[in-house]
Order: sequence, then structure tokens, then C-alpha cells
Amino acid sequence: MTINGGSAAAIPLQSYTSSSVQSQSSASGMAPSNTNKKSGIDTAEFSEAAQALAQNANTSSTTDTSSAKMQSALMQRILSAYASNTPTSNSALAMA
Amino acid sequence: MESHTVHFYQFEAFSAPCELHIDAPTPSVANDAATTVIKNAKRLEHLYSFFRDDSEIYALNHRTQDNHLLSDELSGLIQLSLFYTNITQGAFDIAMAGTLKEATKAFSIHEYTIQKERLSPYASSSHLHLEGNLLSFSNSTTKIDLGGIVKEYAVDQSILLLQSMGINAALVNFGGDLAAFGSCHNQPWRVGIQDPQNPESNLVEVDIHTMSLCTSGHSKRYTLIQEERISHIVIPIKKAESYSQVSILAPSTVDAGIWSTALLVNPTLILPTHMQLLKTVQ
Repeated sequence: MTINGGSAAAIPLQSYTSSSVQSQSSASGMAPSNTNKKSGIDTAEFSEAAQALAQNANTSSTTDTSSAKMQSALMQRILSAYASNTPTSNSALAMA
Repeated sequence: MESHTVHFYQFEAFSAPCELHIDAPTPSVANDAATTVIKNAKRLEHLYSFFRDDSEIYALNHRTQDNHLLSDELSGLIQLSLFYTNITQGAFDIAMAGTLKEATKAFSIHEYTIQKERLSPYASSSHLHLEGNLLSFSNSTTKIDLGGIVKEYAVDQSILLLQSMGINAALVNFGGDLAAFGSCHNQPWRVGIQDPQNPESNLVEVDIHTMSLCTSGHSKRYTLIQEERISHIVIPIKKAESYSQVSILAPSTVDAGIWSTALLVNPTLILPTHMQLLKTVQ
């Protein structure tokens, strides 16, 4: 039984309900920045923003706190992943 | 020991078919969890749509002034996007995506090329400045599109929602951006990467446990102008030098999705060590 998730197809090992969908991961159109101005924010700035959001999620009376807490949790997870990062090469690739 | 069944749900969001596989003790528990996830996915789709005229993004892109006070969540999403613009060296850029979308309305390749050239100077996040929740644009032409991040973000939120509701195992698949946690009947969730040349077969299969897998490519989403395919991903280098499909495993779907697209745009980028380049197709 195969459950296709577009170009990524999920195939649980046990059978229950079978389905098939066809799609592909969406993506924004992108290209390198074509100006000399600063583009994006660095990890320290992002960390500050995440902390501000976490604070807001805990104290705000107007924000949807469940969404804010989930967003804050996601940001913290991303930050912790990048905190222990040492870029290496992409040599472990297998080309189709 | 409590007997669990994996319950399956299908719906459409973000212009893509979506699936939920939820391991739950009763249909009622699974239905409640699925309802919450679907409601949240629809909420995100609605709020951050590029095209819906009642979305927060639409209001920004059809602005009459340069400064806007954003909702907390949109501010966080843009912060997240700007962070990825920085670490992918501009390969991921919500302003590139939004600004150049206008050119795809062209009726001919010649017109598309002219429009793209006209818009390119404005197609960069360097024209955005975010201070707290206050977003400023340096001009009236730059637009933003969260299409490259919001679906992935929705998958990550779905996982958090399911976990917060006491679900121990699930697989969430929004149009090929997927994440799983726990196990499926005591076995890992098995996931395959579809062959773009032969959709009936998989290029590779992998077991995932508390992990996200995203695939980006040119084969499914594009605009046709004079019979020529204009990919939804703008590639600044020659096609022969780039990948046509990239699949990445990462701890979060946002990470996996953004980097799979960034490597399509710039194959020379070095992937951070906390994720794995599972498969590429040239």
C-alpha cells in the first residue's frame, strides 16, 4: 500500500486505509539577492525575535496564545538545531 | 495494553492534497485531533494566502503606505523567513517570490522576460525592514509571498497540535511536505521519494521517526507561457547545472522545505549538519 505525498510518498508498513494523492512541495520563487543592502537577519537577531515572541506568547492578552506558543516552540527548535552546527560538504549525496 | 488504530484523513489545503495518519485509541479521539489540525491548516492557508483578497499578505502587497503593523504570528513568520534568507545566502527569499510572481501573468516569453527584468531590482528582502511587529517597505513594488514556508510551518504546527492533544504517533503529509512522530503499529513510518520521471515508482525509501521530509522540484508546479514551463522556483543559473528535485530530512518541516528549495536555486550551498540530503535528481 502506498500513500503518495507528491514527490515524497509515505508508505506505512502496515495496511489500513489506502489512498493516493499527487502533488509536490511548494516553494517560493527565489534567487540570490541582487542588491548590496542587507538581506535577511542573522542568528542573533532571530534569537532575539524568538525570545520576544516567547515573552509575548506568555503575557499578551490579545495574541492567540496557542498559535504564539507553537510558533515560539518551533523557533526555539530551529535555533537549537543551528546552535550546534558545523557545515560540511554535501558529498554524501546519491544522484538519481 | 490499549489497542490503537491508525486513522486516515484526506483534505485539501494550500492548493495541495493533504493527509493525516493518526494513531489513536478510538475514532472519536482521532476525529477530534484531525478536526483541530485541519481547522488550523485552513486558518494558516487563509491568513497567509498570496491570492485571497482578505488575507494579511494580500493587504501588505496591495498597500497604500510603506509601514505596517503586523500580527504577532505574521511578524514571527517573516522573522523566520528573513533568518532563512540570511543562512541560505539569499536562495530563499519571500520578496523574490512575491515580486516576480507578477511577471508570470505575461502572455509571451518576451513579455515575461521584460517584466522580470523590470521587477528584479525590487525582488529582494533587502527592501524589507522588520522592527518588532512593524514592517516597512522601501518601495511600492516589492511584494512578499509566504508560499515557500507556510505549508511547511503548518505541518510543524500540526505535529505540535497532535502532540498537545495526547496523540502518540502520527504522520502529516501536506502536498509532499511531511513529518511524523511515534511509530505505526510498532514500526517506523516508511516514506518513499517518488520518481518524477516515473510516478509509479520510488527513487528511495526511508524509515522516519520524529523527523520531517520535504521534496522540492520543478515537475509539478509551474506556469505555462507560450508552451514554455516557468517554474514556481526561480533558478538564476543554467538548468544543466542545477537539480530538478531535492529531498531533505530535517528535525523540522520548515527547515527541510526551505533547504530543499534553496538547493534547487543554488546547488553549491552547504547543508547544515543537523539535516540530511536524502536524494537529488539532476
